[in-house]
Amino acid sequence: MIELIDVNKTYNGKLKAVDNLNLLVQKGEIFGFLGPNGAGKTTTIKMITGIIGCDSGTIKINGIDVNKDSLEAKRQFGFVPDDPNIFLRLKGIEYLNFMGDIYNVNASDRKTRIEELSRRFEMVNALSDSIQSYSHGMRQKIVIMGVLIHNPSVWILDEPMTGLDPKSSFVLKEMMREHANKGKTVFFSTHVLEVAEKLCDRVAVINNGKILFCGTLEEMKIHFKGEESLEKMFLEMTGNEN
Amino acid sequence: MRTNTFLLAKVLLKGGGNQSERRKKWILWIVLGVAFLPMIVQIGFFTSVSYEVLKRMNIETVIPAIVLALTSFVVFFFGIFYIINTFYFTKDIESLLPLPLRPFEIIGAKFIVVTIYEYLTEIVVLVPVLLIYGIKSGGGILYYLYSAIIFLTLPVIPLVVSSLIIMPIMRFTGIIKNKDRFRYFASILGIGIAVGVQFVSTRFVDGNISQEGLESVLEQLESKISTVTSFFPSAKYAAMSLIRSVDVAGILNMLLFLGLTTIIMTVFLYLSQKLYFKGVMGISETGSKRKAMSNRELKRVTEKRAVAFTYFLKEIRIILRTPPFFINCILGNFIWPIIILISSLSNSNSGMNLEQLGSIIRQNGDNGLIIAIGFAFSVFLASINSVASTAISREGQNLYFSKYIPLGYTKQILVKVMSAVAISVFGVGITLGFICYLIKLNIYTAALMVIASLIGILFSSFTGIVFDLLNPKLNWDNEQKAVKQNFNVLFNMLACIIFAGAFIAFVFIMGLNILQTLIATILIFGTFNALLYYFVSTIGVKLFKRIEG
Repeated sequence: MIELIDVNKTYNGKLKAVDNLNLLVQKGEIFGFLGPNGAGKTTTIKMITGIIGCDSGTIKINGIDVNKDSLEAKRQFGFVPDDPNIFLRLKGIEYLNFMGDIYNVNASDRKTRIEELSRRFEMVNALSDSIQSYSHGMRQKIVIMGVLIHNPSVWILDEPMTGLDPKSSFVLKEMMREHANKGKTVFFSTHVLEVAEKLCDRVAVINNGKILFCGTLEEMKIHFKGEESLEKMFLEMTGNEN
Repeated sequence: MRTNTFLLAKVLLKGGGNQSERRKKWILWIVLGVAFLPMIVQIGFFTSVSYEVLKRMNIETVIPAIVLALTSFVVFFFGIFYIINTFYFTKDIESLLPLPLRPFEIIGAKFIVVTIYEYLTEIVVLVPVLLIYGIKSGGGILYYLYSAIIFLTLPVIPLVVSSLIIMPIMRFTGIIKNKDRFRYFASILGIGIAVGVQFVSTRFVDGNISQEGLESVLEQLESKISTVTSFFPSAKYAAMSLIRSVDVAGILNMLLFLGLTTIIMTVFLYLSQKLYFKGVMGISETGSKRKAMSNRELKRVTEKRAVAFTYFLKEIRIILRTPPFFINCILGNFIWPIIILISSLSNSNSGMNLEQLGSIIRQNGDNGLIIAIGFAFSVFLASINSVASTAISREGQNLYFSKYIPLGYTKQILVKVMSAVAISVFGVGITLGFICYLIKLNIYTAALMVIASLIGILFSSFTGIVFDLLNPKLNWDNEQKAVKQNFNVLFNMLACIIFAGAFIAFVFIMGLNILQTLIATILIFGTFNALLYYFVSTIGVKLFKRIEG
């Protein structure tokens, strides 16, 4: 569960990146976070994950305040950043093991999960090579594997499908669904409206730091009175703001 | 078409960077200039002495021949590295390939860039000699005009030669396809050569070389000139134009030289069309095996480790495996022992050597200065390896990772300090151990020095990370910028020199003995270390939290 209450963030005292944001992501749901470039998606995700602080407001993950008990809050989630170019000099397996140690995963669970994840993502043959030798999609996959190794209850993913081939993209979507079905939380940002449409239980649309809409797709259709496509609704919503 | 080439060359030379970075670059150039000035003066001085000797033997005209051949050779040698780096290993190549440029336009531009780099080589090696020769032989305007033309065009032919060696290798073999491996190899070779030159030059320019000695050296040189000039025949024409600058032979030789240069350049551009693109495509940073691990292997490598240790291991692994980090943080540790070894071997008949120093120390008995100097040396060495003072900067744009993992900032910072300490212990250990052995220090003093040294290393690592926490350099696009063009390294070095120097002065003024010095070290710098620890784990953590890369 992720909870944002009256969250604000201003850059350099001028640019209001996030404006009085309120959001509740329930357990057992896949939540899509939509918005055009520069809308405040990544800023919001950075605040949830503790990468940057918020100016005011409260953020809670599974009921734990990110600013008050940050370490415990950080143990609750796994985060996939939008840029997978990290730890390029480490081998894939070294990176996974490093993440296992950081999140205190015991040796046997770790081994089982590495085996399962590398099989599902078709990375078995690449684990002993350095991440630098990986393609963009493979880097994306190893980062996702590193996050899943500690089996976090909350998944937070920033543009996770970018660069993935259809098979891996499918596997990831399947895993997201499995995770949500276990009563856990998946929160991800995306530009790709089709993915959001097919996958998400609920979505929020953000533009200029404000939530324009939050709810199920059905609710959105009712809101727009008709059988419009998500794309059309999205364009209408974000276009009006500008 | 030609404008494309020059336009591209201009862009390539400028590189990235904003105004403040450009200003920093100027500072770097000034520092470089100051560093090379003694060498330039030395070469000029040597030329002047040689001229007198050769004049008496009536063969002073070999000077231009020697220096032009020698410069060609040096340009050729450096050219091999410049060309691999500029032609093949720069990041720009990936954005240039899709542009509608012809191969020879890209090569032409890159060739101009490399030629301009080589002018710097020429300023050190060629300019002082030609200048002194001109003054001594009373050269006219034509002499200096020819010199200027030669200065500008001389690098072309040697660079073509090095390109013609490199390009087929890159085109037809996979030897140097691995960037990282090449950079390790090149840096170690480079240091080897620098040390070799140092060794030879300290033997040569001994100051009190005898007249006959110089004559015999020059005679030997003359016999070797023909070999070198036959390798670069163009250099011979250039030399002739300088020697005969007053008459028609001068201009004829000049034209021959320029003609030859133009022809070779044209042929080169033509050939490069065929070799360049295919060689440069598919260059990768590292190799890969793509082989599955066996069950046993997997079990072995997925052992659980303590969090602090795994983070420490990550730090060390990244330093070892990233060539610019390795070169600055690790390889630097080896340079000092080598320099000390060489100067103690080659200066055996002039000045004071280390054994004499050792006996002086032994005669002085219980003087605390030796501990103070050992301490100061440790502080200094630990600051120049730059592990601590770039610990945050090295994370670059990936610093965000430290922010979202469930590992406290205090712990992360302290582990970074510990990895700096570990590398410094290794580096200082080698150097100091080596010196202690050479000066035959007794065990008691050596043992006390180890303690003082550890305190010094800890101090330097703490100050280093404080500087990097205050103002980390996170916006870099290649790793070299994080360690080489990072002012935190300089600040930490200065701070360390000041503290270490003040401590030596303190011990000297107070006239402390060995044990007293150690106690003073523990009391003074132990307190500093405790304060720094407190600072890092309170204010340091706040600073770290505030960094929003």
